[in-house]
Amino acid sequence: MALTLAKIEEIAPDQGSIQAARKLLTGRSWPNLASDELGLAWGECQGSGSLPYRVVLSEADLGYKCTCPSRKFPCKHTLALMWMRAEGRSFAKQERPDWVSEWLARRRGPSASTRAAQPSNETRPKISLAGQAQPETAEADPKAEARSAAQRERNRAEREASILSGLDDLDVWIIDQIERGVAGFQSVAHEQCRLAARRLVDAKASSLAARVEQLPAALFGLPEPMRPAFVLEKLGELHLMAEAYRRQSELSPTSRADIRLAVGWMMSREALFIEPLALRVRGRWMVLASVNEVQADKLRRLETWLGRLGGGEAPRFAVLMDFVPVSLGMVGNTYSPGECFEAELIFYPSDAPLRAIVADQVGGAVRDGRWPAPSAGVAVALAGYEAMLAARPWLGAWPVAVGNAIVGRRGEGLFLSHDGGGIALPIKASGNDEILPLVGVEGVDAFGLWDGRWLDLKFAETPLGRWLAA
Amino acid sequence: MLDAQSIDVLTRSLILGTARQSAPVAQAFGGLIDPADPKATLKGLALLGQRSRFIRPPAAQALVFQSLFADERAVVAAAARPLFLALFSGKGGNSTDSLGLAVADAMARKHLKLHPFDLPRLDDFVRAHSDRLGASAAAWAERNANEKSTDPQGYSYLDTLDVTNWMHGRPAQKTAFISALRAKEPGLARELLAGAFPSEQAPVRVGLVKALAERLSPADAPFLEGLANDRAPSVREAAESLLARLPGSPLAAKRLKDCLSRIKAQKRGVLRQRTVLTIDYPATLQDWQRLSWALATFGALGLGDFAQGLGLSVDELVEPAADDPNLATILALQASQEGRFDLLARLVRNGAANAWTSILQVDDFRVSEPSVAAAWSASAIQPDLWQEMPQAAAFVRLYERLRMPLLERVVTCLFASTAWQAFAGLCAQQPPPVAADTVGAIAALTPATQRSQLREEVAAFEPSVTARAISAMSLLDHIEAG
Repeated sequence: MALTLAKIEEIAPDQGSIQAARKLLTGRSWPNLASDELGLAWGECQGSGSLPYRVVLSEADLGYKCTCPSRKFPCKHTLALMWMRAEGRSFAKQERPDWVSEWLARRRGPSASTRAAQPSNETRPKISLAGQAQPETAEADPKAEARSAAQRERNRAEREASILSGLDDLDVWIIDQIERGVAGFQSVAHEQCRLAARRLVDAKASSLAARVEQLPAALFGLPEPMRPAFVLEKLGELHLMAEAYRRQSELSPTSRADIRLAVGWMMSREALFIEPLALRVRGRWMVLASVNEVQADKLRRLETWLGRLGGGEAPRFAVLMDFVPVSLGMVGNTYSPGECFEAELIFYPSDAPLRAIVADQVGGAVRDGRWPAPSAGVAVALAGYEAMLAARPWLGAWPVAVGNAIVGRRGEGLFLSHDGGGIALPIKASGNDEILPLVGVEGVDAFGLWDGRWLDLKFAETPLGRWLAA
Repeated sequence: MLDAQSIDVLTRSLILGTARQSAPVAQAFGGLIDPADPKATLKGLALLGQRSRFIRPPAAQALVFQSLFADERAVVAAAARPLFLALFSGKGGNSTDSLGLAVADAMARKHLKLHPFDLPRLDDFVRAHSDRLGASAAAWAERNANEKSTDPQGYSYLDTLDVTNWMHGRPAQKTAFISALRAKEPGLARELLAGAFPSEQAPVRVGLVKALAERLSPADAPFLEGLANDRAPSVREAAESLLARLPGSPLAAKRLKDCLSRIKAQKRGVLRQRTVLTIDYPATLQDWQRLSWALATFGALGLGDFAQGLGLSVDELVEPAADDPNLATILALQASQEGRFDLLARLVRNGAANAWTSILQVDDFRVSEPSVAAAWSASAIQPDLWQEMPQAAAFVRLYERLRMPLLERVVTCLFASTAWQAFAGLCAQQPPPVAADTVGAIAALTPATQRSQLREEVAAFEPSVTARAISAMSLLDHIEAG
């Protein structure tokens, strides 16, 4: 990945970190600075402790590690090391020390660059996803294996039963709400949703619990007149999900995998690598948006929305999702909007494939070119959304792209329309101020997330240049 | 099945509560849902909710596609945009320091506007300098005010003011216009001001009255006396202050008499006797209060009246005042206000080397025209006389008053001064706390032709001291090249 000062600014958690890093740019702060030919740079930075902090950076994918206790990621030491690399300061060419090799060996993720950085005569086996998929070669005790398999099966059966019981409770809860009336739901939404979410957590349906817990925030983000219909939709959707889970044997394999994920069964990256239902798409991807949000469960959700450059039937959009504890402090997305990279993505099984992981990235992310204008108008984009909604009734926000669009306003509301005619998508109100400069600009190629009510505009190529949501 | 009426009835039932009015699921969905099914209501709810998700938004009607930020100015160069964001967006961005002012001034001089997509990210900067950044910035700064008014283009922005449109300018523009007009046609400026005065708000009226300080004459007396009944105390005080400076007015005569009683003239010297003037301060004043008291008391006096009262000519005041730095500073202020820059230069070289730092703290002191600002700064700023670098705040204030770079020879003199060399030595080792502000203000005061020299001068400084200034100089280079 081409390391530039602009890139460092993007991944820095805040302005203070940049200021602090700037003070570490002097040579006297770094008694030891070195690099190798494969894009690894490391150094020891003298901090306030008795021992210097050890910082290592993989330029290829911007992976890093610092031994300092900072809760900001990347910390000022890492930023300073990146900064010095970006400025082209001279680093001594050295053999990799043990602590750097150890870090490299511990790193997760099968990125091509990292694999390339792994010495062939490495004695310690690298923890790689491909390696996980291989059958164990060591001799194992068959009885112990059988016991643990039986135990896993018992746990699984218990969890299935627990989830089904939780879904029955959820139905009862929904009936309670509609018996009381959706009109009165607003006044008890927080309390009721928290209660229902807790029960679902107890029933081990954690993803469904998160949906229920997030419902009040979404509800109160809407204008008052839209709220009753929203509650009806969401309660109906919860019942649909519960029913789909109960009848998963009747569903297609991808729908079954999808509903299980949506309810709370996790699929590890390792499992996704060997999942036969998972769609693999290789192509050149452009980062169209990044989202960094703190969830109610004290996890920070990092979303990276990608658009595939080039035609074909494969999915045009994908989202990479990472979750990190809020307690880790500010963490930035690795990719920034506008960057492009060549990679193979693996999509989680679904009839509306969207969430994916990077299986193999070739080369670094670079900024180049313009996002190719989608020829579709609003009606075509909505038809695509509706097709996905039909395939996956619990669909959330879905990426839409509209070419040759224009943003207009009516009263305080902003709308995106194709050529100024036809259907106009209402644009999400919270970002209106930053969208105001787009009003009246013709020939906008826009990308956003459509949730059925609002378009959350994220990215646009315009005759005035590229527009990015903050 | 599921016609409009059924939907309406079913929706009303679910909203009001099925305990009160049972959901007519069977009617709504025909035979699709068995009414005996214990989950019939839930299924009805799910289908109704899912149906609503397929309803498309209505067609675009009555949408307005007119840009809110139309502006005839050219957009700043693409290479300048990241520098703008780095300097003036986010928590670390300071929009109102000298560098912010210098960049806004350069944008106004080159008739450039910000890229419209940067307006949200540069909100603080745009609000602080909306009078210099063009119509789009003015519209952005007032966008919320526009929402309240019925006129979507409810802001006003004029790049250049003249006697026909000056009333429609922004407050700072109006004050600057009247001040500049006073320098050429004081009578016309007063007449324009008097005509528009009642419709202005108090802060604007105060600024306009202070603008009359330029070429103040007895002809202004009737207008100023008329302001004694103004509804705003701040306007009345500003008018009284100007009346006290009017030559020949009773207020001025009384103030002159009081002031002269505070000046002690003595003869000193053995071989050659010379007159020495000192101020006789009130006994209640502490040492640190003396200069500000003296500036407030003597600052409004006319130089000629003051000299005449002491029985000296104006030119003869310089040497007698050299022994009292505060008196020399007062005379430097009076010389500055009356445009006697030759006298100012002599005073600076005779004991008032840092008088400019005090002069800049006087509210009523202003330089209206770039030529006047250049002449004043060339006389007042003589870095070769400085014992040490003045405070950062003084340089910041200097740019705020001048709103333009210093003359080349002044900056050359600064870089050659011992004060700068000592400061540079400190900045390379252990920078003083506000060194970055000093370097920033000096960057704002350095003309374009000498920026490369400044870059060389600060190359050895700690990066934390120079980073902002260097980025701002690059930005200024981009703007000025545009």
